[in-house]
Amino acid sequence: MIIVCPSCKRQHKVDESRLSDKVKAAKCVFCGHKFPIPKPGDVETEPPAVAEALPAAEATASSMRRIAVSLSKGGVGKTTTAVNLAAGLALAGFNVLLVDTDTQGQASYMLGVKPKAGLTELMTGELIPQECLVKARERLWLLAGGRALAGVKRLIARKDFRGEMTLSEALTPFEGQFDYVVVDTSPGWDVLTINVLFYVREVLIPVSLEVMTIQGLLEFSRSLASVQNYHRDLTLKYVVPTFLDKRVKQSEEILQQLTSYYNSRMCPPIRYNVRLSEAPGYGKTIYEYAPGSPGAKDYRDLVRRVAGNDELLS
Amino acid sequence: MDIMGALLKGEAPKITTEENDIIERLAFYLRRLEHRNAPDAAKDPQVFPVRPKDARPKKKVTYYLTKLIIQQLEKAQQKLAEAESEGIKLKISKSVIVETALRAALQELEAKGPRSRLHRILRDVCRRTKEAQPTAMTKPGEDVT
Ligand SMILES: Nc1ncnc2c1ncn2[C@@H]1O[C@H](COP(=O)(O)OP(=O)(O)OP(=O)(O)O)[C@@H](O)[C@H]1O
Ligand SMILES: [Mg+2]
Repeated sequence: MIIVCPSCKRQHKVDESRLSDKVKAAKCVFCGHKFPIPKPGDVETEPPAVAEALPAAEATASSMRRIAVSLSKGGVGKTTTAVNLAAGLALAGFNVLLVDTDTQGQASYMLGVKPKAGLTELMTGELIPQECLVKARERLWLLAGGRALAGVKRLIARKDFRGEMTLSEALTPFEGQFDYVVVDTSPGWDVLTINVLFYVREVLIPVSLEVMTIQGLLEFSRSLASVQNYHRDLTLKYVVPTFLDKRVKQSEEILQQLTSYYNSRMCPPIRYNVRLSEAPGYGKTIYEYAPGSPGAKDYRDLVRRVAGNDELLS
Repeated sequence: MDIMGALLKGEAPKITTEENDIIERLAFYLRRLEHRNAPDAAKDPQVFPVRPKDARPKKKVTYYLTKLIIQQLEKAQQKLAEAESEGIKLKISKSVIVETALRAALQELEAKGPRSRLHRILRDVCRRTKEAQPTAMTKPGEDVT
């Protein structure tokens, strides 16, 4: 049953079978308004249109590109890359969904939005799918992460069948609604990251140019190969060198080695740029905070590369 | 949970793709990097001003030591580092302490046989364990308490 908050008009999904007779009122997760739950026999009111209409489903399901930004090593620039790639694609005119699967919930912080709901509510089914999204920018929608995802992980871990498909199933309502779905993952290797790798078809690995990260890359490549065993459509599509610092001798050398292994999958590097670390504090993307900075230039290059169009954003 | 469980534990089979080739090259490169970086740090003139490079090949091995002896080894290393002998600071790695102590004990065993300290102590250890329980061997991976 879908009930609508009379105050803010948002739609909530309620499982009637689990609702006892004693429960008479509901509290809206968005505005905190308390209101009586309509009984099933009551006159159905027309559900209002969603406040911020989603893009029309022009993109067909198969043309919707799903990209995970992932590496088990922490602090290599996953979130910075996911956010600025998604924002850049939206600026270039694509409809983009950014999914944050990290309990740190940093994507919303970086975009300066405070969503009331997100991936957790989608996966637990507490809200109808559209209500879980927040429109962060023109053409850019966010399905936010956050601490509550810990509960989702337990939920997945308890499943003894198709646990790895939980995220894919939860995201089916958005099939074909966007041109790109960019998924940010948490560091480490857990049930949610495995779910992401079963949902996406493309993987983008940000690699900071240090020995420790090469170690992480090796480990992650092995894990990726084991997922590919069950999910044959999954490909490592892009390796993005991050924190490139020409002053560090080893950074250049590692870059050369990686290029010789990954060849055409190697993307133009993202340089170390202090503007990239300042922008999140202002809730801005790098294009908004410092459009002329090396960081903005490098991420624009990455957007062109991923979209396969050199003309974009110029 | 079977697919998920296998993936979490890293037990899922891996397919052979061009990825595997890259994985092998990465592993090789990583070993080279680690190998090169390790002696580099030791050579750093500010950290170890006069440490001579040991030409003898070394190997990392795993034997079980009791927690107590590990603690004592750490204490000994600290004590040696604080002490100064003939104007020389004894800043020594635990590997060197273990190597030197072991060499001395083994040399004595070689020279004196059953009359050596090592032989006598070990004989006592075996006698005591024989009295207590029939086995004296630690299985690989077993905790020593
Ligand atoms: N190219 C860069 N130059 C300078 N600072 C950067 C760059 N990329 C990222 N940073 C900063 O480095 C830190 C780590 O980046 P980020 O949060 O994107 O990494 P992460 O891989 O998502 O980390 P985690 O694994 O914890 O999720 C952040 O403070 C970010 O602002
Ligand atoms: Mg992150």
